Amino acid sequence: MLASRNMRDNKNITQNITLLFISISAVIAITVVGNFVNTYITDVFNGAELQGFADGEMNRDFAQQIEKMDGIEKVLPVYVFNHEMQCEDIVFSRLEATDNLEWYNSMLNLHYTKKDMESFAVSEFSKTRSIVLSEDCLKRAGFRIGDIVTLANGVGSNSYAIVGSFKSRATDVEAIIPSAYAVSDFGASNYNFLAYTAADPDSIMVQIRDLFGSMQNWSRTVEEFNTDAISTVGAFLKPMHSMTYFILLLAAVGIVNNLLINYMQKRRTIAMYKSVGLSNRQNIKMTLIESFTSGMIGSFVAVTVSYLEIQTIFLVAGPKISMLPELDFKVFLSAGAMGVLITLTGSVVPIIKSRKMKLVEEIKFE
Amino acid sequence: MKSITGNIAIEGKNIVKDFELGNTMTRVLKDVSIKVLKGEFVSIMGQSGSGKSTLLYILGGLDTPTRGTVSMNGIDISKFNDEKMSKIRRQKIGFVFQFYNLIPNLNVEENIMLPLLLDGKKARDYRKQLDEILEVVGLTDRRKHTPRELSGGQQQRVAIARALIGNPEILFADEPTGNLDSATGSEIMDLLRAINRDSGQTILMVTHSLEAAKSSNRVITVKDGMIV
Repeated sequence: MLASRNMRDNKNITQNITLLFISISAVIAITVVGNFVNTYITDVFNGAELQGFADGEMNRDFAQQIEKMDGIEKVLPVYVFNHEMQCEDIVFSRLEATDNLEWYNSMLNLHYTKKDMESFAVSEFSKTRSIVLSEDCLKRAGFRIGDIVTLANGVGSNSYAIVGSFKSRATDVEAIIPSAYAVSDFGASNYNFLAYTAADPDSIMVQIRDLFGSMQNWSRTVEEFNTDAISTVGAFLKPMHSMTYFILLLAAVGIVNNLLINYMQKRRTIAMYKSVGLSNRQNIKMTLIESFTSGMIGSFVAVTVSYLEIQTIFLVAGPKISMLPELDFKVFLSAGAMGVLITLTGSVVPIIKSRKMKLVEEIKFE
Repeated sequence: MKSITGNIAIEGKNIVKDFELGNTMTRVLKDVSIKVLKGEFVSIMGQSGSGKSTLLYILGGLDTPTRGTVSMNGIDISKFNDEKMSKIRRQKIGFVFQFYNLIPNLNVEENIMLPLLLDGKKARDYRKQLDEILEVVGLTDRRKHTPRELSGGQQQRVAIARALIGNPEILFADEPTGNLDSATGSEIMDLLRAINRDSGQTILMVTHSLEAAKSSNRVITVKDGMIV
């Protein structure tokens, strides 16, 4: 009862709760979003069959040499049109052309909007001028499955039937058409991307790099890609994680400072309590209850707001990232516990000072 | 002999108190001995710096003597640890200060009940006692007010009620009228006198005021750290 009365209208306690809220929610947000980014980036090719890829100018002969390499299993060469293919009123940021949509689907883990759409699209690709679009692109352009659209790139133009839509984390392609028509309608000559599977992807990659020689390319096995991604993301996340310790340190200093100010302002009141019989043991209990309660309130508010904040972030960004975060409640609980621990630790000095207090000096004069 | 000891509310023997001021040690009380009998109303007078308040605080257990003993009911309390001393303050002693020393965020009732609450007692078991004491100090209609909503005289009445709620064996008062105007001061002294007269409450009071001291049965004068 006395602890709750002491907390009422106490600005230092309010400031501590605010400090805890700000610091803990920052720590949680950084940790959760950081962990998510790490998972998200290294999880790009999860479920995709490809084990390596080459990004660069490759002619037919180049692709055939790869197909003949020892241990190679599947080779999927792709034509790429970056920001050059007009489709009605929009320009595709990236259109790719393949002669094997079935392999393309498995290599890049395409998820079709409807169950039967994939087999239909594969079948149509071999027969007619057809196009599959990413769900985002379909929505953006306002097209529907079955629509006939005109593709044009300055070299030529022709009508294509939309036969499917998909989502994929392994590629940011907006549209896919059959290779044969990319060559005949739009003058595609060299491949720009090639995905492969092999018994020994590393060995194939060494040979691909040899084939490129000094030609510009960006070729990686999936394993190399993931290692690069972890390293790059880690370079950003490491200082951010370090910042969480700094934030907690700042909060701890602020909270300890507030508790000391609170003690200075309450010295006389503590002395009054002691003069009517408050023992040191009771004072310790009262101080710890105050600290624990303010720590709990600050931590609870921070954890709740952080949870809602993170949910909001992923709700807003959800359609773009097609992956939900795995919220590790250990992160929330440990951040909250850390807040309580800081306030409890911060109350040690006021407790020691209260014990050493000279009662008469505090209460004799106003 | 047994009956005399049994009649003593508090006794200080050969009390010495030294204060360190910088590098200088100052002796504020010089081998002071004092007895207060049960039911007595004793005033301690003396000039500023004479040591009278220090004597009161040592006898009341708020300070410790450098040497000497303080006995309550024949038991030396001067060496008690914090836990035991706090219990004495809750159960055996009531204190009234010049500046009231009420807890600002507790209302009148809560301030009065504080020693009982700290002693682990339940407020609801002491409603009758609270009502009676509020009646005695004339604050029945102010029971839910906080100290800042009361006048100085009313605050001092609350302090007196708080000091008396646990039926203490002795009430210590350190210049209880020192912060009040003369009319209010007289009212407070009338109240203390009535409490002593009607319920036999032992009171030991420090005062500068001769007028206030007239309320007591006995006056002790302290000069230069000694009783004269």
